Amino acid sequence: MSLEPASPPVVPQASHFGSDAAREQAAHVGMWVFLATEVLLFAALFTAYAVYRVDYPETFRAAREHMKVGIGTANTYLLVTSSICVAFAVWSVRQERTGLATFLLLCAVVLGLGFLTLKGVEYAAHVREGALPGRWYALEEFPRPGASLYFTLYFVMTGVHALHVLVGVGVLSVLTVQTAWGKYSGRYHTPLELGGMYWHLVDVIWLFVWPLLYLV
Amino acid sequence: MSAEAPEKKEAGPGLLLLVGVALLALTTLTYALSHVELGRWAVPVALAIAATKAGLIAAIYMHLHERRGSAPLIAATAVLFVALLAGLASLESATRFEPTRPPGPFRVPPISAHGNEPLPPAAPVPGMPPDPKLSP
Repeated sequence: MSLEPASPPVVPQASHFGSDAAREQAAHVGMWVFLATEVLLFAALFTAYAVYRVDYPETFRAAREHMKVGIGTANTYLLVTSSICVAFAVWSVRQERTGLATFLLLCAVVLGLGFLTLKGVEYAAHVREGALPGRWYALEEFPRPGASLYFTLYFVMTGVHALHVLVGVGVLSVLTVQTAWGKYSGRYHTPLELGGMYWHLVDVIWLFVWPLLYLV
Repeated sequence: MSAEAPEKKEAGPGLLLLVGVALLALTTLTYALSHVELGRWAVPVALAIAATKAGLIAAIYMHLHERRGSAPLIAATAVLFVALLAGLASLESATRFEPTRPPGPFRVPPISAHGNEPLPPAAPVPGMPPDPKLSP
């Protein structure tokens, strides 16, 4: 049996990638496919929430009395503000103002870390009270059927989201360093746009998690 | 994959700022409305405001207004599937007869500190000979 390749090796600098615009379009489409899978991951969690809210409407409505609404709301403002920072950072790079872009990205990273810190404070308070998921649930002021399910959903939804915030902070940190090094310009900044889109998606998911778990 | 050249119409700083202010204002509105007794409309109203914010972010901040064709189509597909999944599942749950709903969950009695201890021997049933497989 011959080990000769069936076709000649790939010629370097092949032109099948097309123009810069086509490559940018392909990158955006690929990112949107990835973001759609992320949306479907959270869709399963929101569906579980919807089904159990239908089954235990009174419990889910009363549960907000036992949530740290102040911390949750502060976290919403932190994430929305950081999204605004990232949007302006992309605009700054397109205007060739990399110094401003680096500063804005750094702000977004700090706001993301602030979110995670507040989330940690909130989790610690829930653990002290005994508002834990599933069979560890021991919140004596709220001993209703369905309450342990509510806190299971709370910890899974906010936990998976916090994991995404952590990844987003990592992505933004790398982008901040790359922007500071002058890797991106008005002509080439697709990675910055894609990383920003991930951060915006994390924000969008929180915009649904926050009212459902803390407010209504 | 078509090599379509995206026509660039980038959002200016004014539009970005306008969207940012709208997002913060709608966040404040959501919080304020949580202190108003809206009854059964509380969840739909909160979700509508959240969807408006999500639409603004997707259209302007996530560059969908600069894209044509595939990217908006993928985004719309994701939204459609979320609506189908959550909508149909909760509809099914909401139209069940009351007795088919699970009564729990209740707290499970704690497992003993020694782990999986053997169960105590079953009490003999009157009128039945003892099962030789169960007796030690």
